Amino acid sequence: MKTARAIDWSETTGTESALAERCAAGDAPACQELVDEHQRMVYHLAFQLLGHHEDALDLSQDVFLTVFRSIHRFRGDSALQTWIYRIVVNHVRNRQRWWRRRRRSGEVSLDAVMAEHGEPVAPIASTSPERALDQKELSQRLWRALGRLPFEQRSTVILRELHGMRYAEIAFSLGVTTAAVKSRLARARQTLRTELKHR
Amino acid sequence: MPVPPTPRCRTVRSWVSAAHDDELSVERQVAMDSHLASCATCRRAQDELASLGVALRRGAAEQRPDDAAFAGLATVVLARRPFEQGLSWRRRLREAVEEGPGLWIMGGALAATLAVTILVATVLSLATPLHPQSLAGLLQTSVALGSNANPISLATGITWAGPAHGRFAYASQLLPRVWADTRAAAMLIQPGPLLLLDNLTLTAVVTREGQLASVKVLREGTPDADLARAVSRLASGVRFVPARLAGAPVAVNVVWVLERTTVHGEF
Repeated sequence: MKTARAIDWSETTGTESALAERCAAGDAPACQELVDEHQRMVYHLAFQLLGHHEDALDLSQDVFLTVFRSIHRFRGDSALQTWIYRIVVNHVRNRQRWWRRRRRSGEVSLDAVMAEHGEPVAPIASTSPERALDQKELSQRLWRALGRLPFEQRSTVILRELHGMRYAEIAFSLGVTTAAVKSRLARARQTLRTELKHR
Repeated sequence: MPVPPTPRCRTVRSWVSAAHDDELSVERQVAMDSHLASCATCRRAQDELASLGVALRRGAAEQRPDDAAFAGLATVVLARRPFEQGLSWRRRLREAVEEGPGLWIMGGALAATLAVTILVATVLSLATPLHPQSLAGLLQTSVALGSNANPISLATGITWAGPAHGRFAYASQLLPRVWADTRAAAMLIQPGPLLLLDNLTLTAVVTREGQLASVKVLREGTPDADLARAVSRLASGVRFVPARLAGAPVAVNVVWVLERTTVHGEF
């Protein structure tokens, strides 16, 4: 399952450019439209990267304010959504640097998240309770392993596996080359596959 | 790069990740499918990757907050937006840094350049002075011909007049002269018993500054340190117009040979 449709840069349409122009001009309905359209994606990506609801919500606000301040620089060389992804990733990266500087957190607190959100929100479709428990434990272990990955690898995996982004889009969002994206994905998956084998 | 028709397992394993992401070229995908049809090990690697993606998405779904989690987001953002328009330049700079690594990279490069410059300057300032007998020291000395450390020799009455001339010139053009004001001191005549010398040879350097240095005395063909010190002391009041080469003052070696000279002094 891919939670987001694949984004094609050719989708940078006149509609998006027009929306961006209206937002840059301070048009309130256009700003409302932009937030309504992208808030789900922004919040979920922030939550997946930070692992904490309050932090994700706070960061989402900052992301949209940054979007409005810099929307005049949006040139349409990527889809608007991909451009916003980039802002989210940069905000998360900087917030984590800020945390590290204050020794509040060396890593994303996914362990704490798992403790907080320990019970699944929805029942897992499976053939037996034992199998469902196995799958749940495996997912939890994988997410803990994901939380221990370096930020650049973790964000690459999340953008690819959970947001269905293509390599070129991930590269744009992270400000790296597609070769770096491939390399990070390969290394991250190798680490996670090792975790998967130790079940 | 041409795609081998029957790729090896190692090659296919390197393609599995890109194939899983639909990022593999058609040629490689065909070659990979052909390989997978007959290789259970590589199929297992592919299956593991697929399972990994499924497990990650399942975990995300389990944690995924519902839409109520960000219900008030748009309202808050739109309420804050007008107040954020008049930000201070400090806040804008911070935003610029947060939006991309460009400023960090520029700042880092600047700091690195500064650090290297300071390091090099420190090393140079703390470096051991050049040993005069080392090759570098000799080269440096030879380059500084005419300095106090490398005076020009006034041998056999002529000396080199410098590259600008490209020829030899007579030493008389270069010889230092005693200042008229200090000529009396240069006569080395002091009250006291007479000292009759048949043969006295004095070598010294007349520096760029017109002072006598490195005085050595041969008395009847034998070095005489005491006499050299005495001559140095007496000559301390003597000043020379320094020799010149191509218009610039230079240090020169000088030799005085005195025969049957009567010297008054307290040696």
